[in-house]
Amino acid sequence: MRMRLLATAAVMMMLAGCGPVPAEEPEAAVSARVPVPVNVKDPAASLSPAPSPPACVPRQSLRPEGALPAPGRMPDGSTMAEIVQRGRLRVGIDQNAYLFGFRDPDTGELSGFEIDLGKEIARAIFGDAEAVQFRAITTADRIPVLERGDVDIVIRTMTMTCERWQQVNFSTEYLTSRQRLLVNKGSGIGSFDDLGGRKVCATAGSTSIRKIVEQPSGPVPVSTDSTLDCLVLLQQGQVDAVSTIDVLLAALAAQDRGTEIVGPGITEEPSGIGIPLGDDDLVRFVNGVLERARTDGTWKRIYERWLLPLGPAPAPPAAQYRT
Amino acid sequence: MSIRARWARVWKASPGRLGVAAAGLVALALIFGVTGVATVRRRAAVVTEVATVSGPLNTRAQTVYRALSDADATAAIAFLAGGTEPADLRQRYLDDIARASSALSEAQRDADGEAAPLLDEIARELPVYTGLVETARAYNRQGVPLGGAYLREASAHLRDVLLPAAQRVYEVSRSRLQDGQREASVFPWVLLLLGLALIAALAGTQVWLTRRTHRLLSPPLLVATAAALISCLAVTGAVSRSASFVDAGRQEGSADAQLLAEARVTALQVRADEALMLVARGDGGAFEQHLTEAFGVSSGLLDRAGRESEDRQDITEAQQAAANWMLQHQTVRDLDAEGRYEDAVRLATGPEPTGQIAVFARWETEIDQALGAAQGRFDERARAARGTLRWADVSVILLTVLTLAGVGAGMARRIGEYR
Repeated sequence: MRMRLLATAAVMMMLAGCGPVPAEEPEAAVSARVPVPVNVKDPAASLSPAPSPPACVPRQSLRPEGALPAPGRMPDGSTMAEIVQRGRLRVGIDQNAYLFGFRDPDTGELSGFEIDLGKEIARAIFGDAEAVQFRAITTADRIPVLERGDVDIVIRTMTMTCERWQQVNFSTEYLTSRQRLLVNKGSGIGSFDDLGGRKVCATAGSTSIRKIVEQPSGPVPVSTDSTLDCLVLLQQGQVDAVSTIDVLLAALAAQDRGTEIVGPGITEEPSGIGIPLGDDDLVRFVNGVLERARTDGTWKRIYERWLLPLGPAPAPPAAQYRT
Repeated sequence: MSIRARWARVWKASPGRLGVAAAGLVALALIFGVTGVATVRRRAAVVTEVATVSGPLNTRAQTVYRALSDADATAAIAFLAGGTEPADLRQRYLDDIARASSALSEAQRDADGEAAPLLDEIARELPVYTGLVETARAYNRQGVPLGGAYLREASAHLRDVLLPAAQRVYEVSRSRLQDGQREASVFPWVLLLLGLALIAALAGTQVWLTRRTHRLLSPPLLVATAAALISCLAVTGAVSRSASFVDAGRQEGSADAQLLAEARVTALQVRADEALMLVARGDGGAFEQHLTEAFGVSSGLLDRAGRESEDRQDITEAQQAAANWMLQHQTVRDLDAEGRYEDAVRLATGPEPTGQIAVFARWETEIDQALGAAQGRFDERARAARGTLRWADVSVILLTVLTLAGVGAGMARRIGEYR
């Protein structure tokens, strides 16, 4: 019966051609949703504590054996001979690190300090600096691509640590850097002491993110796929600081004058070229090339070409070898 | 005197029986007439809603969804062109945003229920998206990689917030349309049964009267019977024809259109994925994965549309273009993996007639043609469905009045004969 009444009422309303008048709603509080870059972890996934690796001197690599072989005439059976056979040196790099490895939007070409370093090694193997195939990889992919043999070497501001020496080889140090902070100018942040409970950004899988977690002031780590995403977050006020090695911070600061690098270096980070475990001959060869670059002024020339925004070229880091 | 006794007396006397019969016929005729008018009006309202509100709303939701997906792809392709993007790509992006905004405000007018807050969300977040795209552009023009990071953030915002809302609005409007279509394509059984009951009652009364009074048939009652018969046939006929037009509009029109629209929107996402993979410069694994999945979805939808639709020719050609595009995408990937980034970008974004842009245009155009045809069929059937209902309510009223008049006149004369 009630159903019928309802149905009748509905029919009548329809016949009358009007529905109920909607009530006036009070204006709801509206707020914008903050956009985030792809794959941001805020806070960063908890990191398993670093297993304590056997003690080592991270900067020590393998000593070059004698003079470098002539380009194109690599010793038979060597890793370099395989590369010559293939026709190209495969190098894992960053395409998004301003001044280190990036695409110049005008020319579309890969440019930067680490790109030139890769070309220098190709020149030593082939006599042709262009016989190189760059492959863009993420921070977290640096070791896996070496382990899978997808690339011959990785030049991507890779910090030499005893832990990583368990998984890959490193060349001698080609750049020294220290982990510091990038903040917005006028933020009043001077060091990690000011960042207790505040958000600090670094890339996933980097040594930097671990160091952020270890700071006694207790900052909250936020991880991204790329340091550039950290700068985006900083510009949008979603993090209070970016923390990674000073050379990469300088590359970020060069893209935004509203930021500055502050605080003491909390680490000393030697960057080395990553090479697969077992390719000792290639390690020795690359160290030979680096040695030559240090002494004949090539290192200084490449540094000055790209990294002058970081300050005048220092002396190249001295090579350290295992005895 | 008890009610039962009074009824018995009325029933015993012939004029009493005639009076009861007359009242019954009048009531039946009235019930039939009111139900007929209500059914026709209700159907007309639903059919009009389908044709002029939920159909267009569904199309507008489709437009928002599509324009946003196209903006995503176009912004990424324009970005790849470097510091100075080609004017036509810039224009296409701006047009997409304009189209999305305009369809959005139109859709907000008609939307209700679940769709309204979603449309609000799109309206709130669209400026955030365009702001990020412009920031990306500004940095790209300065030649710093930060632009790429902003473009990826813009795309993520579009894909995580705007597109899901647009997709949901589209689904809601689609089910609203389908509900309307379902309601408007039911056969009017109740009406038909009522009509038959009225006719049977009229016929029965006349047989009874003829036997009882040994007189010839009464002309007014004959007129009433004829009017009831015509009314019943006309109104159930009109409603059921309209129902079958609505059903045909769904089967031949909107069902195909929905499959094709979804196929096209996923195709646009596939295309955006390729460009974003290149923009990401090495960090694009997630885009590649999304591309593979979206391509599978798009192909599946096209296959289904191909089985069900009348536009097989267009759809087959769209499928071929899609296959070509995918084949060429493998080349783009291989070039990128080999470090021949420039060549990969040229193949993906260059103006060459064999480039990905041209292949995609073919893919999209073929879908568009089939979609346009399906949409046309929907509109045509909806118009026809509305047309058949026109005047149906008026004719029911007139014929009901005629039936009542006939019953009144015929029965009054018989009752009068007893006085």
